Amino acid sequence: MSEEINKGISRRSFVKGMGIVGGSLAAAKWAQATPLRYFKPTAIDNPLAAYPDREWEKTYRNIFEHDSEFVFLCAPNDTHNCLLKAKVKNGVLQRIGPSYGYGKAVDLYGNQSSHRWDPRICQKGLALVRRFYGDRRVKAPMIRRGFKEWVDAGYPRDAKTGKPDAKYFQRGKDKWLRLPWDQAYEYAAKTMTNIATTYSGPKGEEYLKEQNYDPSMIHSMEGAGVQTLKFRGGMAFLGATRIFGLYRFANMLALLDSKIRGVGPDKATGGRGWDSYSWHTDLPPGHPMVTGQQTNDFDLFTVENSKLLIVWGMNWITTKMPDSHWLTEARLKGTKTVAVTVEYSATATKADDVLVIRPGTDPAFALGLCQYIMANNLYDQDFVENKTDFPFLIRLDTLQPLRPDEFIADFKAPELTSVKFMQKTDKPLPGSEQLEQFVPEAMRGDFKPFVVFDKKTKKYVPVSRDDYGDHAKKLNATIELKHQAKIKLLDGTQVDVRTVYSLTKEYLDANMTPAQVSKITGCPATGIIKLAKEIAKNKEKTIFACGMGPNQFFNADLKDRAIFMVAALTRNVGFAGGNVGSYAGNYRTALIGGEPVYAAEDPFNLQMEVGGKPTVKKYSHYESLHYFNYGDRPLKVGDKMFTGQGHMPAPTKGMWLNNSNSVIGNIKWHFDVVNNTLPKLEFIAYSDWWWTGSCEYSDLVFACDSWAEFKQPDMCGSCSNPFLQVFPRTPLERIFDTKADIEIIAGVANAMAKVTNDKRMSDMWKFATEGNTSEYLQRIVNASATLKGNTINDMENKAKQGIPTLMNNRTYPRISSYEQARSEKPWHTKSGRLEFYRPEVEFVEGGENMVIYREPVDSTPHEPNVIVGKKHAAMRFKTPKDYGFDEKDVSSETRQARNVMMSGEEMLKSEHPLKLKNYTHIYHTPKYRHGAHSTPVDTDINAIWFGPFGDVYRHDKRMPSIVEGYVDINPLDAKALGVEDGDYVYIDADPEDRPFRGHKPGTEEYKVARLMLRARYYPGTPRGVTRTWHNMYGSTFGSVKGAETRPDGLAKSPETNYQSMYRYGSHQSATRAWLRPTQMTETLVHKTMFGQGIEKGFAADIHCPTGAPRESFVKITKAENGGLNGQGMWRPAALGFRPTYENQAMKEYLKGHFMKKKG
Amino acid sequence: MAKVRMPAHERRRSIELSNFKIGRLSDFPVGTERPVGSDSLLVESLPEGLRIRSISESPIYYAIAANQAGELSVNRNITWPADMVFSIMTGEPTRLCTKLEERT
Repeated sequence: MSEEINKGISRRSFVKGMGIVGGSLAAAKWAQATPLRYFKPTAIDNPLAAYPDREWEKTYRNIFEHDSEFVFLCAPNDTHNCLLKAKVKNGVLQRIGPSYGYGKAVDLYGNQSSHRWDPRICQKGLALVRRFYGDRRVKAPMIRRGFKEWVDAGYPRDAKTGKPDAKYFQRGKDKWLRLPWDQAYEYAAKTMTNIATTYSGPKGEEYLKEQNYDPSMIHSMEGAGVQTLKFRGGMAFLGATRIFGLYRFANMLALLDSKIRGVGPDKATGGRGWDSYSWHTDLPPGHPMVTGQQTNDFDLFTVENSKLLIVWGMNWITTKMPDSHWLTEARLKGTKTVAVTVEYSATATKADDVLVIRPGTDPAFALGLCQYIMANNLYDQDFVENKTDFPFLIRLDTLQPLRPDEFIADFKAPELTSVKFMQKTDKPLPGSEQLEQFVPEAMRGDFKPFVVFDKKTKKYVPVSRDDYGDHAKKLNATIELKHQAKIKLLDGTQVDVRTVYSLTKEYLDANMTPAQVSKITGCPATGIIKLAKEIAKNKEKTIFACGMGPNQFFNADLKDRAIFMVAALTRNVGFAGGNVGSYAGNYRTALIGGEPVYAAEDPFNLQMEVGGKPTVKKYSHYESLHYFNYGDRPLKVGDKMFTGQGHMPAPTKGMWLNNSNSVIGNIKWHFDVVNNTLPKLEFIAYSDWWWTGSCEYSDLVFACDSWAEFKQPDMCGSCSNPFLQVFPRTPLERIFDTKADIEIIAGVANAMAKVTNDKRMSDMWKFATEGNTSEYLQRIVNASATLKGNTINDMENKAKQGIPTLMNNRTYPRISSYEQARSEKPWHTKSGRLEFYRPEVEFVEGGENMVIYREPVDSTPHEPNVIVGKKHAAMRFKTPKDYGFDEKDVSSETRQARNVMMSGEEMLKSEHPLKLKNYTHIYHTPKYRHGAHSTPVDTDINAIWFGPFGDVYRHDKRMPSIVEGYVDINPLDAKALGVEDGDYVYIDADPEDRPFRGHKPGTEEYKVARLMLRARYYPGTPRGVTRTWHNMYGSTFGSVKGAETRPDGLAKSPETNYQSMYRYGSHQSATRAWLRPTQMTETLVHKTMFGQGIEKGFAADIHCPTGAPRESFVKITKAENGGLNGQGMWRPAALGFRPTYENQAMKEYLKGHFMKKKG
Repeated sequence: MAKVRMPAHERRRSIELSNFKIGRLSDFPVGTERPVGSDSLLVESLPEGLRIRSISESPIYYAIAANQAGELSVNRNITWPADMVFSIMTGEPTRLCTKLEERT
């Protein structure tokens, strides 16, 4: 019998046999001889000698078998890049996993990383398959019909204003048409040429005046219409050639300007580039104010070198997914973790201590720590005296530093060796060869010596920039930190002088004691004192890991300055275990320092040879996107222009962006931009591979390859890990009619070359057109100190195996301020030290020359943006009267520049002006783990996790998608408002300007813009504070049309498939643009983006506005019942599973009664 | 009435021809026409989307669909009116629209 079984039975013979059995019972006898004989009982004498054939099981085992695999790089703007392995079956990507290659990464010296980096992936990477093949891929180049008609009609314009007829610009409501690629390029090239020509010269200036642009903006263009064209490669560090390609394109437009205005390379100008890091509020704006650096940070894995980790406004566990294990491992190694947070976050659950503060009061909290440390002499004397400006004397008559030449006759400042003054004829060395700091000769006056008081000799001692760190010891001075006296100047006048330390201490003692700070922040004073003591005890061993949260408040720079003050007082800047870092976005392009050889190659002097060295010349200008967000206008309040001329934006008439949904789709004050700003624009182009809210309002959308389909390599780095990661070319066939980003840019440039008859525009992209983008990448590698010596081909080949490349940093982990902490180099500041006093006029006039505390600009139940303080000799700010507006005017517009001081007690008694109108809650909108900005939030398999309202079946047809946006509210607050868990509510912010200026209830625009969403009971948020995650796609005209007309009720555009996660409005209905005077100065001295240069004033992503996208104060009104289709209560609440609704079983469960302890 | 059954080999052929893959979107550049299915059908790539019809004096228009891998197929069991196209944006049928007032 066993022999027969071992012969096996094929499926074919089995089915055949069964068929015959079913066909005729009469043939039963015959059937005895057929396969039915196999159904005889099995009788196995010896199971070790025979066993049934189990080959058939392979059918199931092989379900997950793949035909082939390849590696691609996943690099959205969040967790800093993962090489992932894709498994392919039948030509279709089936699933994705980690590459396990990170432990094999080496640098040029043979240093190798460890396998502690593996596996590296997050749930968004795992779900990418559903995005690559998703129904919202941009599948081909698309043009909006009305725009096409405008172009086809020859760009007709109003004779007086130059404006096109609005009928051509029904964005968000129009139809879309597919274009052949060549035509798409041509439409873009012709339109940009037309706009640049229209707005050039006196006629262009006249048009712009007629269109009511601010004269300062028009003046900033210098008559060049190309400057009305704006470009943005979103978070360009994520794509050295394809995303930075748009900045290269902007630089190339100098050729267009040259042709239009008939000027040579000496006068030609390029297009304008928009910022990224500062635009996303990722920039900690106070870092350059203290250190001169864009951002002080460190590779996250250094955390295990610390003994005390303060996770401040950073939800590390959830937002740094592949890197969250470093925090966990540090804890295992004994690092104490303290969370400073505005809620009981996921990271808070991992902390030893949790300090919950009122949102936006971070500067006060940090100053409370400083006060206690100073008052109890817990500070590190050496660090404070030699590495900070605390000992420097300030004149109280001018509030400027005392200078030796003001009271020492014939004083001659020493020639500095810590910085080189560059003459106009001097050319800086290439970035990778710059070892010393340098500054233009014109800035020499910014580097005058300071003065300290030697208490041993009772003499005033000049201190130059060369006397930084340990070099100060050669002065042999015993510094008196608290010195204050009168000093006689050379002109005979006597002036009061006091040290920065003394002035600061007075402010802190009067306003920021732990008891006072406790009242402002809500954190118990004991918690503040305990933390201050622990930090002071852990010199060189306390890490401040700060996140984006506090960056999103108007007082963000004060927060940075105050946190640095805590760290500096306690010797915790620049050490492996003691440092300050900020983690938001991915920005540090300076790590690929050779980027300018590509992004700013001189288009008049192109390097056409393979292996040749390009010439760098920057023709493009940069500006902050915040002005576009602000209605394409600068900040002017009363009679004062607060936007420095160096920051001044040009009018925006055209824009082209890639890798970027944050400029329209998920922009702060989105509905104001859609209704008030976009109508001024004549050209909006997006390159993307996913149809976003930005695409909804575009004129032209280019379809890009997804990361899994790259046919041109690219590379990127990270601010939180030491890897250079290459996007390798992949074998996956393109799924749709898409192209590489860089091919698209080259295509438009080639078309513009034809339109203008200037071949140099084609030459600019020669290697991309030839499919040899590697040549550009190699040039960048050769010019980067961290990469020089590598070849892009080797790096790409390694990437194809899932292995990244270790950058050549000075230390692993990379540690900002490492050299400064060791007195090897000065900080890139005027004094070479950490600076806590800002004497520049903008800071003095704003009352922020010292580090002080201001209330949030909107997210507060109290009077917004007031300076908390009492009369102080160094606080002599300009008042509303000085600026020509009424002190009582607290409108959003004037509030930004309103300097009014109140004591802490007065401030706490004051009220937000909207409180009288039943506005009750702070409403903030942070980012969350299931999305990077808005990237993969709407991937169904990710989206479903976004809170408790996910339902793949959408039983309730009111749901805009399979999940929906919601507001977290404290249950007690909700009850008081008559709102049940799961109910729909309206959220209205300041009606003066939100959801947009000039809104009219009853209109379609208002209906689309007014936010309606679910309320979620969340005991983790304090009373008075509500929250909606930032990441969800908002409503558009199309999505609302879908929600109201589609049979399935999905908020999905019938025209484009755009899917909103709100029925109406979005979290951006409640936000607005804010411009902060001290972030628009002409005077702040800081390091340049690349190399060792020092400059002052505006610098994109370093010193420019960051807004306050998290701030609003709102009214919450019940809209609909949460129960199925509006009937009764939301089911989970009704069943007793939700907070405050617990049934008996739930109560028992929460008490732990469902578990029994043995013994 | 007695049922007339189609011979098995004919049934198989019918199934094969009524619903089959015609290629990917990138195979049909906009503004082009391309025969498919043993040259009996013609795919027209219009700015508004794709349309497929029989090659004859009185053409019949058929349904187009896309699968999750981005592959397009024709379904000859479903006919569409002449002004209906497969929208590449939504993956669903949509009407051709030429008048300005119909746009919004």
